[in-house]
Amino acid sequence: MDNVNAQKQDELKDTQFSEGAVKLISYVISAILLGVVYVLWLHPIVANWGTNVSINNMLSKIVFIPLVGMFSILLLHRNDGRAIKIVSVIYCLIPFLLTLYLIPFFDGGLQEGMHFDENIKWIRITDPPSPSPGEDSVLVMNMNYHIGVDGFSFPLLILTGLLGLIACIGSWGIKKRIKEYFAWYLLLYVAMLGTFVSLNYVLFYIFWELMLVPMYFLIGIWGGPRKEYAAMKFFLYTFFGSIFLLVGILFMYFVAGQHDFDMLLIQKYLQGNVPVVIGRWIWLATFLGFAIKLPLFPFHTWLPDAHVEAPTAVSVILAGVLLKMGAYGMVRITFPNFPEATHYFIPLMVALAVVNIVYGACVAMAQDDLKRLVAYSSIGHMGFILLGFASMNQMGYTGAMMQVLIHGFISGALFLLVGVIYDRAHTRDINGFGGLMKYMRVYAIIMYICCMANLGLPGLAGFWGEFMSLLGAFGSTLMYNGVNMMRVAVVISVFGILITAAYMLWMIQRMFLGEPNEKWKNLTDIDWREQVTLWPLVVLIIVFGIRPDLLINLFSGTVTGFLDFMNMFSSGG
Amino acid sequence: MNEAAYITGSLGFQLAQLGMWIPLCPIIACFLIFFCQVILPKNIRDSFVYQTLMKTTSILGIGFSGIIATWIFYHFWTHQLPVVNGSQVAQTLLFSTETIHKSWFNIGAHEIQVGILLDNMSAAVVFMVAWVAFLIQIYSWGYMKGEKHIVRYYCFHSLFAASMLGMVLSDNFLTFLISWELMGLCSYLLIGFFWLKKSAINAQKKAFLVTRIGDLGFFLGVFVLMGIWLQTGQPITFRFDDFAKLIHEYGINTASFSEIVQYSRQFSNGIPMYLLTAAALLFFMGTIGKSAQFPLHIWLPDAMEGPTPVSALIHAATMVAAGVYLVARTYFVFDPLGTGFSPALLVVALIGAFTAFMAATIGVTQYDIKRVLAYSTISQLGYMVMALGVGAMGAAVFHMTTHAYFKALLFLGSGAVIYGCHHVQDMRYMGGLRKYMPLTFVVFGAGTLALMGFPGTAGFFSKDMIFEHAFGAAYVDHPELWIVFILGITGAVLTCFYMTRMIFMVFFGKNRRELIPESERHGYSIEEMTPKESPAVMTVPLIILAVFALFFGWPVKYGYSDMFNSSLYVEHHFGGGEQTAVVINESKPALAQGGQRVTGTTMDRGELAHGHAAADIHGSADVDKLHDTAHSGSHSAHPSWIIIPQLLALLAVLSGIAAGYWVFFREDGRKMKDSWKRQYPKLYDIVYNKYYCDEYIQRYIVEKLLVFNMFLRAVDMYVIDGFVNAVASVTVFFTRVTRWFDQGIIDGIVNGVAAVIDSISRGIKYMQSGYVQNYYLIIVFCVLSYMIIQGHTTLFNIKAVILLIKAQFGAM
Repeated sequence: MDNVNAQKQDELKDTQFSEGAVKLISYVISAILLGVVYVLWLHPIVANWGTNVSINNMLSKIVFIPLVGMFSILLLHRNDGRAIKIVSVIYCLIPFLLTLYLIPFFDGGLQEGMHFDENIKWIRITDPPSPSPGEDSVLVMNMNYHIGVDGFSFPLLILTGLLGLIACIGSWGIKKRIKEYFAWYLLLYVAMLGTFVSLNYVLFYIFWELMLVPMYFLIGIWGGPRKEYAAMKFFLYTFFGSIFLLVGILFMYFVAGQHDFDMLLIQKYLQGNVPVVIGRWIWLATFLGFAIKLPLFPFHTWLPDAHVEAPTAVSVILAGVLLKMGAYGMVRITFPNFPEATHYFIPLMVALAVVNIVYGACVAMAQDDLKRLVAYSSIGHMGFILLGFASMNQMGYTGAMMQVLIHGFISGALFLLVGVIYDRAHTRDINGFGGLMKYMRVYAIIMYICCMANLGLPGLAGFWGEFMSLLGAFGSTLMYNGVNMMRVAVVISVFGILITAAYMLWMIQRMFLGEPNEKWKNLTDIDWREQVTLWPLVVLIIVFGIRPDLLINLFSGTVTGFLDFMNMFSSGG
Repeated sequence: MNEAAYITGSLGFQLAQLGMWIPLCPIIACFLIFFCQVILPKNIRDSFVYQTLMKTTSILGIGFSGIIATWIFYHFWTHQLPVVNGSQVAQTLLFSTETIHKSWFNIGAHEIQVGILLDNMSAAVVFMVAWVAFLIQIYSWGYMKGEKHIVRYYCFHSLFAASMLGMVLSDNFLTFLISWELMGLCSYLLIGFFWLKKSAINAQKKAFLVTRIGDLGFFLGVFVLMGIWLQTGQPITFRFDDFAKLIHEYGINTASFSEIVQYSRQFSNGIPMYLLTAAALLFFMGTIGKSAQFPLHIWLPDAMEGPTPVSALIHAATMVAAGVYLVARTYFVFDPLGTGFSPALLVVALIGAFTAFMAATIGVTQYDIKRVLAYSTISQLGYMVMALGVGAMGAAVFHMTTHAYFKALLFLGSGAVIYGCHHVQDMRYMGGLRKYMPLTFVVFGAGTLALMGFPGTAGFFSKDMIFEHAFGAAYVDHPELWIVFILGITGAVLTCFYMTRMIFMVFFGKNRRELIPESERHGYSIEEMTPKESPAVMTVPLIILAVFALFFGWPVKYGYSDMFNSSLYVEHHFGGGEQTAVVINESKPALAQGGQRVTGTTMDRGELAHGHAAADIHGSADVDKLHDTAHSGSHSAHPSWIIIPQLLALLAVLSGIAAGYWVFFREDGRKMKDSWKRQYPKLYDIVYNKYYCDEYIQRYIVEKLLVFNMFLRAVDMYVIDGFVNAVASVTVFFTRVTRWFDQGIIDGIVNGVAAVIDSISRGIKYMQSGYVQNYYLIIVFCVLSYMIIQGHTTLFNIKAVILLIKAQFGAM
C-alpha cells in the first residue's frame, strides 16, 4: 500500500512539475508568436507610421491576427486561465487598434470603389490545367483572394473590433473550459472580421459559414439551461438561410458568365444581363438568407432563444455584430446586384419592416425575462433598418446605417447589463426585482442611459437611427390606390416607438424603483471590470448622440454612390 | 428676403454667440455634477462640503445664464443691438432676429446646421426661464434640506433648465426636438425623485409616456414638413427660418384636398393648405401632450408626486410652457396666410378654451393644495393655447411669461405652506395659516391676485390681452369663435372662485390640524404640528417672484408689448419691407457667414389681430409708424369695442371673487353649497373624479394594449415558434420513418436475402456428405422430381420407368 501511495505521489509531483514546465514553455512560445506577429506584421506599421506604406495588407492583418491568437491559446495549459484570458484580450485588442489606425486613411467612401483592397491570385482552374507557353487555355473558374472595405463595411469592421474586444473582457467570468471557450471565441472573431472584408463570394461564404461553428459551440457548451436546443436552432435556422444564399451565389456566378467569383466583377456583369424574373428569384433567395440573420418576422424566433441561452459575451456579439451581417449582406449583395428587383420588392420590405417594428415592440412588452425583452427589442429595432433601406434615399440609408451601428453599441451594452444582474442574482425575472437602485447605484445609472438610448431619446445615439430612417421613409413615395403607403407605414411604425418607450420604462420601474426587495440586499454594485466594458459604450452612445457626424462621415460617400447607382434603375418612382 | 444688414457686435462678439452660453452654462454644471456623482465614493458624496459645492455649482450655472439672458433681453427690449464702431442701431427695429449657425452633420451633399435663434420672443422667454429656474434652485436649498439625494436633484434640475433654454433658443427642429425630449426625460426623473413611493413612480412613467404620445405627433409633423420641403427639391434643412421662407416664397394653395390630390410636384400653385394644416395639427399634438391640453392633460395632476419645487419648475418655467412655445415658434405653419385664422388654429382655439374651462371646474372640487394648483395650471395653459388659436401669439407668450412668475410663486408658496404644516397637503387640515405665516400669506395672496387677473397685476394684463383678441376675432369676422370667448370668460369666473376657496381654506378660519389622522402626521404630535414660517432662503425668492407677478405687466403694457411676438413669424409674413426697414451699414454684407442678421419690420402684430389692415399691411408701413408703435405701445389705435371684453373680464374677476366670498366666507353660502352637493352627488362625483378620464384610458387603452401584447407573445410562442418546432418535429419524425424504412425494409431486404441464402446453404451443406449413395439418391430424387414437374404422363408411363430402371441396372 505504502508503495502504491508513494508511487502516486511521485506521479503527482511529476505532473506538478510538468505542468509548471508546460506553462513556462507555453509562455515562451506565446511570447515568440507575439514577437513574430510584431516583426512580420506590426513593425512595418510602426516603422512607416502615418504613411500610406504602413497600411499595406492591413485588412489581412486585421482578419488573421486573431487566428494566431487562437493557436497561441491552444498551446497554453488549460488550467492557466489568466494567461489564456490575457492572450485573447491582446489578440482582440490588436485588430481593433488597427481598424482605428485606418480611420484617418478612410474618406467615407467619397472615392469610388473599394479601399485598402488586396487582390491576390488564389485558385485558378483552366483547361488544360497547366498550359505550356503558347498553348490556348480556357478559364474554367477563377477565385481571387480579394478583400477590401467601403463605407458599408468599414464602420462595421470597427464595430466588430470594439465589440469583440469588449465581449472578450466581458468573458472574464467564464469558469468552465476556459481554453476552448477563448479558442472558439477568437475563431468567431476571425470569421466575423473576414465576412465584412470579403469581396469574393466563395471567401464570403466560407467566413459566413465559419461563423456558425464557433457560435454553435459557444452557445451549446457555455449556455444556459436550454443551450442545446438554442444552439441547434440557431445553427439550423441560419444554415437554412445559407442554403438559399448559396443557391443565389451559384445562380449569380453562372448568369454573370465570367467564370469568376469576384463580387464586383459579378455585379458589373449582372447589370442588364439577367432576365427580370430570374433576377427577382435570386433576389428573394439571397434576401431570405439575410432576412433570417437580421432577423425578420416570421424568421425571428431563433433569436430570443439563442440570446437567452448564450453566455453574456456571446449575446453581445450576436446582437451587436451577427444581426448586422444580415443588413450588411443586403446592401453588399442583394440590393446592388439586382437594383430592378430591389425596387420591385420595396412593398415587401416595407411590410416586413413595419411588422417587425410593431410586433417586436409588442412582444417585448409582454416578456418577464429581462434578456428576452432585450432580444425582442432588437427585433423591433431591426425593422427600422429595413424601413430605411426601403426608402431608397439618402436620409433613409443614413438612418439605417446609423441604426446598424448604434444598435450594436446599445444592445451590446444592454446584454452586458443583463449579464451583470444574472451573475449576481441568478435570475432574470423582471417582476422578481424591485428597488435595485438602492443596492446597485452605478448599475442603475448605466442602465438608465442605455434604456433611454434604446427607446430613442433624442440627444442620445439611438434617436438618429430611428428618426432618420423614419424621415427617409416618409420622404419617399410608394403609391398604392392614390395613397402613399410609405407614409402609412411610418405612421404605424411610430407606435412602435411609443411601445418601446412603454416597455423600457415599465421594466425600469419594476426592476429599479419602488420599495427595495430585501431579498437582493446582498447584491454588490457593478465592479471595475464590468465598468471597463460598459463605460466606453455609454460614452459612445452619448457622444454619437451629440455628434452624429462622427459616424455619418464614415459612410456617407458610399451611401451617395450606392443610391446614385440604385436609383438609375427605379421605374419613375 | 430681408437681408437688411449684417453687423457684428461692438463687444467683439455677436449677441447670438453669447446666447449659445445660456443653455451651455447649466448643462456644463449638470455634466460636472454627474461626473462627480459617478466617480466619487459614498463617504465623499454624503459629506456636507461636497453637497454644498455641487449645489453652488448648479446655482452658479443657471445664474450665469440668467445674467446673459438679462443682457440679451435688455438689448431686445430697447431695440438696441450692438453694431460696429460702438454706435447703436436706432430705436427702429421693432422686430429683430439674430442667428448663428454651425455645420453639424451632412446628409449626402446636404449640410445640416445647428444654431441659435434670438428674436423678441426667445429673448423674452429665456429671461423668464433662467430667472425662475434660478429662484427655484435657491428656494430648493431650504425646502429640500436634509434630503439625502439632494445632489442628484440639482443635477437633474440643471439639465431641465438647460433643455428648456436650449429649446427656446433652437433655430431648427432637430435641436428643438432634442431639448424637448430631454425635458421629458428630466420631468420623468424629477417626478420620480421619491422613487420609493409607488404613486411617484407610476406618475413619472405616466408623465413620460403620455407626453410621448404627443411627441409622436410632433415627429410626424416634422416629417410632413420635410415631405413638403423635399418635394420642392431644395437641399435638406431643419431650420425654422428656411421653412418660413419657403412657405412665404411658394405661397399657399387654398384649394380643397380633393381638388389638389393630383398636385404638381413642384407646387407651382403654391403649397397645398391641407398639408400645412396636417403638419400644424400634428405639431399641436405635441403641444397637447406637453402643455397638458385635453385629452392628454391626465399626466399633469399626477406629476404633483414630485417635490414641490419640481412642480413649480414643471408648471411655471419649463415643461408645460414648451408646448405653447412650440406653437408660437412654428406659427408660420399654423397661420401660413397671415390672417390670424386657419382651420388648424380653430382646432387650437377650441381645445384651448375647452381645457381652460374643464380644468377650472375640476379645480373647484379638489382638496389637495397642489392638485388645485395643477388644475389651475392646466386651465391657464388652456388660455395660452386659446390665445394662440385666436391669432394672438404675442398675448399667449406674454401670458406664458406672467403665468410663469405667478405660478412659480404659487407653487413655491404652497411649498412653504406644506413645509410649514410639516408635509400636510390636504387643505381640509389647514386653515387660519395667515396668523402663523404672515409673509407667506402676503406673497401667496399676491400670486392669487395675479392668477385671478385682478386689475393691475401682471396676470390682468396678459389675460385681458387674450380676451381682447378672442373677442375681436369673434366679433369682427369669425363668429364661430364666440364659443371660445364664452368658455374663456366662464373659466375666468371659475378661476377666481376656486382661488378664493383655496385662500379661505388655507389661510382663514380656524386651524384644523387636530383633524389630521395619525397616518399622515409623519410621527409628529399635534403640538409639534404647529405651522411655522419658512426660512429666508425660501421667502426671498417668493418675494422676488411676487414683485414680478404684481408689476411685470405695466412695463410691457405701456412699454413694449411686442416683446413677445416671434420676429421669425412676423418678419416673413408682414415684413416684405426691404425698403422701409432701417438698413444699417450696407457696406458690410460680406459678414454673412456666422454674422448677425438684423431685420427690420414694421408691423404691429396686435393691431393686425384686431382685424385691421390685414390685407394692405404688406410692406406698406413706414418708418414714422414704426416709431409711433415703438414708443406708444400697440394699443394706440384701438377700436371702440375694445372696452367690451375689458369690462367683461373685469366683471368675471369680480363676480368670481364675490361668489367665492359668499360661498366660503359666509355661513349661509356654505349651507347653500352643502345642500347643492347633496342634491347633485353624481355631478359632483364626476367632476371630483376628473371626469373619469384616467379610468377610461386605463380600461380602454392600457389594458387592451397589454392583452394584445400577451396575445402576440402567445402567437410568437405557440404559432410561429410552434410552427418552427413542428417543422423540426415533423422532420425528426420523417427521419425516423426513413430510418425505419432504411433499417427495416431496405436493410431488411439485404439482410433477409443474406439470411435466406445462409439458411439455404446451411441446409444444402448436408448434401455434400462424400458418400456416393447419397449422391445417387439425390440424382434419383432429382430425376423423379424432374419427371413429376414435367408432367404426370411421364410419371405414369410405366414403360419409361422400366427403361429407366433397365438403364440403371445396365450401367451397374
